[in-house]
Amino acid sequence: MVRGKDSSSAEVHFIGQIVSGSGFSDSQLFCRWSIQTGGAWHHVEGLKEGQTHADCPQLGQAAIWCHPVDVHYTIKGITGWPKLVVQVYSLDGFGRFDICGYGFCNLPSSPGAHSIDCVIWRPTGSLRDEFRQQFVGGGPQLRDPQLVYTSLDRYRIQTTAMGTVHVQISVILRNFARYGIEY
Amino acid sequence: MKSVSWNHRAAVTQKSIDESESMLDQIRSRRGRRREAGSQDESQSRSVQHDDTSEPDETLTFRPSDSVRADVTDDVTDAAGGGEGGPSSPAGRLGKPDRGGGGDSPRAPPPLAPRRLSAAGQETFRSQLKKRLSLAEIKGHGRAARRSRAQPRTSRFDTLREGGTSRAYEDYMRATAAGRTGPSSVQAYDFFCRIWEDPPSERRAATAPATPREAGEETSGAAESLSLSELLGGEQLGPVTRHVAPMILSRKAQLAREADIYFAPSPIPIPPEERLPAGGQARDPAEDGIYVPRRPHLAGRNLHKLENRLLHSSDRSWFGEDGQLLCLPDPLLSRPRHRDYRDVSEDALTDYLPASMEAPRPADPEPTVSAADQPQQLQLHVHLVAVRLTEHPLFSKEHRAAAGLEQLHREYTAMVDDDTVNRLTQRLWAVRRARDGVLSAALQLPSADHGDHTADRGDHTGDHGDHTGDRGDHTGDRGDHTGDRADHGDHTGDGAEQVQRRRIDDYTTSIQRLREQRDAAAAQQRRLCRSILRRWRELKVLREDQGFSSTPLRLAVRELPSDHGQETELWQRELRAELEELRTEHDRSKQHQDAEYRQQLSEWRDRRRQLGSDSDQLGPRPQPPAEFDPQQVLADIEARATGNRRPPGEPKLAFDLLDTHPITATADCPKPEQQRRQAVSRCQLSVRTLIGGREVSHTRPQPLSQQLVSELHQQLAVRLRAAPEALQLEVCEEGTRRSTRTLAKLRLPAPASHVTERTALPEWTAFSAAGSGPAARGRLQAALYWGVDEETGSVLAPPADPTAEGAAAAELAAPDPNDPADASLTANMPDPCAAAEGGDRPAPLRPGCDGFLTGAPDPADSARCRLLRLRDAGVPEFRHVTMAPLRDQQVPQQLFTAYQKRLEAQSAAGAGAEEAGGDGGESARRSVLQYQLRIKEMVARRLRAAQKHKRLEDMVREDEVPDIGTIGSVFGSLLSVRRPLNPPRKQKQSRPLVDLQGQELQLLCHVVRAFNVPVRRDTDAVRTDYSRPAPAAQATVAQSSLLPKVSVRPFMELTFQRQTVRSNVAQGPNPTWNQDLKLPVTLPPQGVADLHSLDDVIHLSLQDEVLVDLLDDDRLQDTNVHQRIERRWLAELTVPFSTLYINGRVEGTFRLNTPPLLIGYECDVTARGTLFHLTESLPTGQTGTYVTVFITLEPPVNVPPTVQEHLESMETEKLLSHCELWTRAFRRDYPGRRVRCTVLDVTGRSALVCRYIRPLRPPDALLAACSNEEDQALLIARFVSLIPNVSDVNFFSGMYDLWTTCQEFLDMQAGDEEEHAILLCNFFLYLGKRAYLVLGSGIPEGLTAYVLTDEATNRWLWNPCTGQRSSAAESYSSLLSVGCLINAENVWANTQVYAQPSCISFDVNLVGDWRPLFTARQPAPTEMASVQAETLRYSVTDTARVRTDAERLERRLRDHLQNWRQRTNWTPWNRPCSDALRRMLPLLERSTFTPAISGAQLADEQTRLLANIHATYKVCGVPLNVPQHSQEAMVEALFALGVHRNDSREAEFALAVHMEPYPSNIVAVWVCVAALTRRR
Repeated sequence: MVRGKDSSSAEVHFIGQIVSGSGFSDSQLFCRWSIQTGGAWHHVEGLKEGQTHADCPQLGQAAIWCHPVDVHYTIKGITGWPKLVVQVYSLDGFGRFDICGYGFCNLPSSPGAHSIDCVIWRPTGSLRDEFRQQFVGGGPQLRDPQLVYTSLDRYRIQTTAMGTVHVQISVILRNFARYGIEY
Repeated sequence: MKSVSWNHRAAVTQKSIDESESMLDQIRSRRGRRREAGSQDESQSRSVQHDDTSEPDETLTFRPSDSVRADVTDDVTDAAGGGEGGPSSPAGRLGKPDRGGGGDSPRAPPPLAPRRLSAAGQETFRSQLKKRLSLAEIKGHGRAARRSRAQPRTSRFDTLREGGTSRAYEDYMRATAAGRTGPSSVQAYDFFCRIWEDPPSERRAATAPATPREAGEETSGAAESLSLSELLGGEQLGPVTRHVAPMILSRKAQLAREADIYFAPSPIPIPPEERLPAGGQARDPAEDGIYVPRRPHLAGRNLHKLENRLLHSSDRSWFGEDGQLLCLPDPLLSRPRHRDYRDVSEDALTDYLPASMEAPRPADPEPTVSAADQPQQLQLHVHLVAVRLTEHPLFSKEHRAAAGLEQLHREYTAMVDDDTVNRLTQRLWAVRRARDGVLSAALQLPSADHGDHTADRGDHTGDHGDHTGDRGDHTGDRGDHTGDRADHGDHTGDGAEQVQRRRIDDYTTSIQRLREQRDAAAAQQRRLCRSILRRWRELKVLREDQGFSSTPLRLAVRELPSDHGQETELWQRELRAELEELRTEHDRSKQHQDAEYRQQLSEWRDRRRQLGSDSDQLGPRPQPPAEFDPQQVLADIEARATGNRRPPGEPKLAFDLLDTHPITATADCPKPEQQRRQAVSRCQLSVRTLIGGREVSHTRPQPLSQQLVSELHQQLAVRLRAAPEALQLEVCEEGTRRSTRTLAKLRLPAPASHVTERTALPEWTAFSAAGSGPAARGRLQAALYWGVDEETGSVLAPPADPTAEGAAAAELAAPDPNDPADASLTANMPDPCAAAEGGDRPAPLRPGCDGFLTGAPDPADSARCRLLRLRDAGVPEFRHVTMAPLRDQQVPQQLFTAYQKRLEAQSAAGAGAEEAGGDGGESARRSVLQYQLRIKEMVARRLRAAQKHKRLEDMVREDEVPDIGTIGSVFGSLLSVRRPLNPPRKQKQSRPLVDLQGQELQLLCHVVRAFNVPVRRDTDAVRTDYSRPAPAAQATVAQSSLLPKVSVRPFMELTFQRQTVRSNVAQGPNPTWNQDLKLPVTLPPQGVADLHSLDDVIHLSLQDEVLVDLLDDDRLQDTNVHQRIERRWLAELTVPFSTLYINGRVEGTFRLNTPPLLIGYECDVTARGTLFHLTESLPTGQTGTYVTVFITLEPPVNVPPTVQEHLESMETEKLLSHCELWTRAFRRDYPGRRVRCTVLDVTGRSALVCRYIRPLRPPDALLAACSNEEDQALLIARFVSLIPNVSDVNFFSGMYDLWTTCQEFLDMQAGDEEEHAILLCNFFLYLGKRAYLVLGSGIPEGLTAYVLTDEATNRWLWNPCTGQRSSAAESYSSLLSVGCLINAENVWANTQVYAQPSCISFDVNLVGDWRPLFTARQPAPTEMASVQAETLRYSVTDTARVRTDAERLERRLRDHLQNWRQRTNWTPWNRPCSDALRRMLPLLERSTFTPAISGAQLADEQTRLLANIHATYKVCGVPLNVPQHSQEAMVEALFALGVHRNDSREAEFALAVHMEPYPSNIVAVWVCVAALTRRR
């Protein structure tokens, strides 16, 4: 590889897709996602967040999204490696949506193709809330969705496991060797 | 004898059993069966009685256990058997196995013979009996009875009746007791088999002991009556157990008994002395500064009980030094770690959100899910109270002195308030006490075990003594070191003592340190005290010297009462204590010094030995260390104390600073002071507040008082989105010359998040001037607090930072640094040690900056990243970059230059239009364009996200599934009437934009026909074609007879994006082409998605093809044809591409734009009507050329829908919903009619359309130009039409219908039909006309706006873009349908059957015809503030500049024309013609708004002007009138004319530009271009 004299900084490119969500009690699901990074990461191109379509699978229970993720960052430091934060919503028979769960996963840091399973949970409400949720819909939602990926207050939440979101991500690193990062 | 012994034996046994029984009873009673003592006795007596009735006295003793009884009987038998010993005897056989297990003995059949017991047998029996009895003693009575039933090892007697058994036994006993002779065989048999009669009489007399004799007789007498069956199978089983009542003791007795066994600790607290070891003193470690963990909470009663018990066992090791129980710290957390399940709902982390139909907002720039995600609303209040200067150039000497005094007093007061000296003194004494306590303990402790040590040491020395003989040579050494070793032994042997010594050392050092601190503080206080007094004296002297006073400061000195005796005592005590300490310190250091001295001395001696006594190198003899001199030291201490502290006799002073000193009136002051005071009164102070580097407020300047205090008292509330770290305040001095000088800057940290108005206190913050400039110092009083939301009551503060909170808590609670529980707090505190050490620790890394890429270039610098980022941001210059290079060097730099240029231009335009004023009108225009661009960008940015909305049709192409209806219609179409000659147009399926990627988009124009085409006027030109020389005279006649005279050969030419396609040539003024013209559309670089931003214009021009015969030689005319085709521009139709894009197609018969004068052509009015029936529909007297075209795009394009976003509105919710309902209802009833209630303004807010209508005064110049009202109206319409027309679509780069206000419209000099119409309508309203804004659809622009004026004579419809009016009743109007009428009060929707203006009534009062938005039931909002400004600002047009612009434009157009004529390389200009044209143009301009000037007059004028030229040239020219949009548009229009395509070598050209200035920089531009051909 010819190393140019250009003074470009280290770059990371995440290309992949949010493949599907499985294991949920509902099957009509859609998913909102965002990528959270630390301060040393500068977004260059691509969407850092988005929303998939709502999939209503006729066959099987897994909602297939295959939603593309294509983000490009230049970085100054590897702290705050990106996390993929996911919120899964479900559509009910009336066309209403309610939150199905939250979850996050760290994006892989080694180059190559990876497939990640992001485990989804949702906050548990009071007994009354649970009943309401069962019969009327809706559900307890986090006031501050940042809680999903910050560990500060998360211990206070009581949660229920919901399902898994499957993600396939390919990581391309550039100029990392110049900064002495081995991978 | 034997019987006696036996009896005796039995009595003994009985006694022992009695004992055992009483013991059992005792146990039973202890178990708690409590009964009345009386009843117990009774039952006992009863049982005794019962026994008495049944049995003799002795046998009673055997009752407790049947088994015992049985066993005894058994054994007796055995013994008897054994005694007889006859193996042949059946009785012996019977007896033997019985010992092992009596289970089978009942089966053993008799011959059972009564046996006798031998003496040996008796002995054995006795021993057996004894054994069994002892067993019975051990076993419980009841249990034994039970076991007798359960055990297999029961003898056969068990089955016998009790009575019988006992009787037989009695007999046996009697027999044994009676005789030396054993029982006979009969007796023996009876013993087992006989049933004895009850001897009742005997029983009664059983108390008397029966004689053995009698018993023997009875036994023998009853022997026969016992049957075997009874013996074996007797079923009459009596009770084998008996109830024994429990022994119940009274409570008192019970307690008395228990008191011996138990110990009950008392709950009364024990005095602490008892808890300590003997002679110990309670010591509180907390007082000594040692961390004491919190004890777990224990109820006092329990604790005392525990202590009492421990002390009872005399175990003092459980108690600590402080006399408290030793215990671990409280292991319980004060807060629960995990919340209760029920608490979850109250948890602030989650909200229950009901399910809703509205999908969560798609990925916006800011993903917001809940309210908490919204940027926080913060409200910071700043209360600036006052500024007090302490140093300033305006300070007089006195002020300076007063400020100094004040400063000193403040320090002193702070010190006194803090009570530093006292505090340190008390601490010093506490430590001293602690040390004394340890010392006394140390003295006591070793006294106990010192003896041991000495004894030990004695042993040691003894040992050493043993070894002395072995090591004779070391004796001397050992003798020397004995003492040392003893010391050493002391140290190592006793750890506690060492600890104590260390503690004492620690105390000593801390005392020393505290003493120094105390002395320093006291000295400081004393110094302050002295300086205050001195400064006050100075101030007084100063005032006297200068003869006036300008400060009110006065120092009042009070003497505080003091107790002399007590103070002296304390003083002495202190001195003593210090002396003692110094003494001990001296002692400690002396040991060391002694050793040193000894060593030095020995060295010195050695040297003396070597060098001799009087050598120079010997040096002085070392001096022994000085002895402690108490007198000297005491004197030193006292001197020091007197210097530092207040000696007992000295008065105790307190200072009060008062403002009561009279200030000399200004008049009495000397001149310099007067001047100074004047300067002060002129000076004003203000405070500027900056948050995040941005100025948020600048207080009003407040005058400075004579005391150099400025009372600001200003409050300020700032709404913030993010919490500021600190607030920057700038104290400014407002000078006399309107100049503001920043005195000083200071930073105030943002308040803690709990501080609100109630809790905030104004605090003084000192500041001092920074930088060069006169020194100024002062203090600012300000309070910072967070606002409170009035509705919710929540504090609008940022969430508390946990670290900050920790730090705050650290300050508040003063946590123990030794306490591990406070480690998290102390970790956040600044480490004073680190600061003292100079901070040589590595600084902690900032988060997010770990330095791994230090030295890495900023990503912004990398050209590639910059390119990528700009492309991602959608910057127009970079949007089309598809392949970004991988390396920086490969990024073309010119990509950025255009971008940079644009940015610079924008910033320059933003700097101000006046700056560009020097550069003529074009620069002014450029600034307007920049303004347009800015607005465009702003709107685009605002709506970019909304643009991304896609419809289902855009994403999914779905073919309709045929159903019955569609199939039916298919078959129906087969049967329908076919009219091949009248083909209908089939609607094409439009396709979404995304489908068009990679396809070629074509512009398709179907030109049908035109009529009323101008015909050639210049007969000469016609003759050029057909005037052939004489030989063909007949032919000419023939031609003219066959065809009408060929007056014009028109064709249509379509020009789009500089590409041209033309139709065939038709003949005559009413041609028919029926031809498709196609042109490819060059898509914008961003692709189809940006199609709407394409601002090209479709030019459809009508031209005349002229054949010019080039044959010079007439002879060749028969054989050769040599002609040149020339084209003459006649008229054109311009359709903006956006119109086509939005409407999908442009279809109809349109009036072409014809210049008011066509040089060389005229409209042949006479020719009309004779040829085409179509012309009949034309209004009489209507001139103009019409063309029927159909323009569309191929393939058809799906137009993105107008995004209906619920945007912010200035209307009420109720009104909006009413408008919505009204509009929807109308659209449902009358689809296709245009109606609007609310529109968006430039800021994106929606407003009621009525707000846009307001009478506005037209420019005065226009009003003054004409006196006639009608002329005024026409002139105004002309003025409005001159403002360039730019469609919203490409202006606002989206599907939004934005209405700008008239002022914005004039400023931007661009707008679409609505803006023109509003302005025109507003002007008409000012003129007093009843004017309405008409929304509808027209041709060619599609949705459009007109103005309706309701005048006395007629109703006029004004086309605001052309400035032309037409009668509302006219059948042929470019307005095709009327949707609604709007004025300032209401909106009326057209509910009539027809929508054509000629077919409808315009009386809005007719309820059946017009549906109003506001009715009596739904009234209009009471006060409807107009969005329009009250008056419009019109900028003055610089006529001189307009003239230079005209010249510049002319030059430019000339250059362009020459460029386009590259082929011919030669473009001669005819100046006389140009001049003539130039003279003609103002007339043309005037003709546009003056109906008096008719076409004929114009033609005459033209003929007059061009008479000379016409004589020599054939002139063909076009005057072009374009509203000035830009010069580029002008160039395009010229290009579309095609004049440059004249290939004639002889052709000459004339070009004239005229610009007619109108107010507000609006200019009518006329360009006249003519081609001249010399006549031959």
